Amino acid sequence: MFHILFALATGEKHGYVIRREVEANTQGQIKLGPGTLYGTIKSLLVAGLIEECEERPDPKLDDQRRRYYRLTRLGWRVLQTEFERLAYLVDLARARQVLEPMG
Amino acid sequence: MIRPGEDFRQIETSIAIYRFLLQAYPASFRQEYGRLMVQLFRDDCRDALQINGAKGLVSLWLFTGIDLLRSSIKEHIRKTGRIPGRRFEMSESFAIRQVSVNRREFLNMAWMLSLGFLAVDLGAVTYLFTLPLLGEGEFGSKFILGRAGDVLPPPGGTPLNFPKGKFWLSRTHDNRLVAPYKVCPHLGCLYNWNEESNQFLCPCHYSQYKLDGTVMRGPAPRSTDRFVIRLLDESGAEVAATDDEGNPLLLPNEDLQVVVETGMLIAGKTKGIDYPVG
Repeated sequence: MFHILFALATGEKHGYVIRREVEANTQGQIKLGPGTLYGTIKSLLVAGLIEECEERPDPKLDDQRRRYYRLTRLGWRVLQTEFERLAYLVDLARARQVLEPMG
Repeated sequence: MIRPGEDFRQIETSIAIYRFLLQAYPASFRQEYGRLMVQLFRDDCRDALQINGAKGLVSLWLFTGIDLLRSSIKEHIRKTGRIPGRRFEMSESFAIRQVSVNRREFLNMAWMLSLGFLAVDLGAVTYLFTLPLLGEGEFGSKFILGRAGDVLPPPGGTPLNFPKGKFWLSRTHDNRLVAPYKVCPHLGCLYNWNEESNQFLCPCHYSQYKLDGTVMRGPAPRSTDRFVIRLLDESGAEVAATDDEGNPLLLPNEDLQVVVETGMLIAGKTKGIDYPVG
């Protein structure tokens, strides 16, 4: 879920591109199948974190059958909060010297 | 090599199966996202075939099958608010209760799902069986070396080493080709080319062979075994091939393609029987 939000943070995207980006961002660790991807997208839509785009980003590159998604304001805030939480945890781990310093 | 037309057929078959398997999902989910999922799967098929060929398609099916199973169960839970077959309810936040699946529907679904997986399994295994066991460039199969003039050493030059094919490729002074098997016929060591003495030399017991694989000295009972070489013209028609006795094959011109058949091994001639000991 977090990774899909993350992928959408850099712009509106459709399913195939979202998945490619998730795979790239996690260095191939997370591979989403069609069912998992659209299942998660549905959950995010229901929770109001993302929405479908009405207008098409680029009519020239467009494929009518694609559906584009983007973050809602709520989704954006959730993503920010999550990043802050992660950053706080990393800082905390450093301060307590639990995290090994990066080479 | 897979031709584009074949690619297309494989993709269409896979998509037809996938479309059928979408029945595992609740109808509402299928209506909303089925088309998109099929499209995504089509992209996957294309990518998999492009990158890894048929093997890529098989592993894609394994991956997608697991995805299908997991996410379809998840969608049913989401729809009914409970795990099929169990009585308790899921947490409120995730449950969007509409219609619940009754026992019969659940059993139908499970049955269809298992049938679907059986079909995919059978299909994948059958497909794997139709693939050739050995690809080109694997030991036991063909090695296509290329145009004689481009790949071969000059007549009498250092023989080419093909570790993967387990053979040397020699071109003799009188312009004949031999592909000696790297294993010494004495006790099975791998012999090497020795540049100073201009002959093959086995490090184990010093058997010595000429460039064309004929045994000169040492304990080896016979000349080196050799693979069949074929010479093809531009159209792929065979012009010449190593004879049944494994004699060096004359290279009539430099434009021919050289192919070594590592599945066809001919024993070297025996010392003292096939020719007098020198």
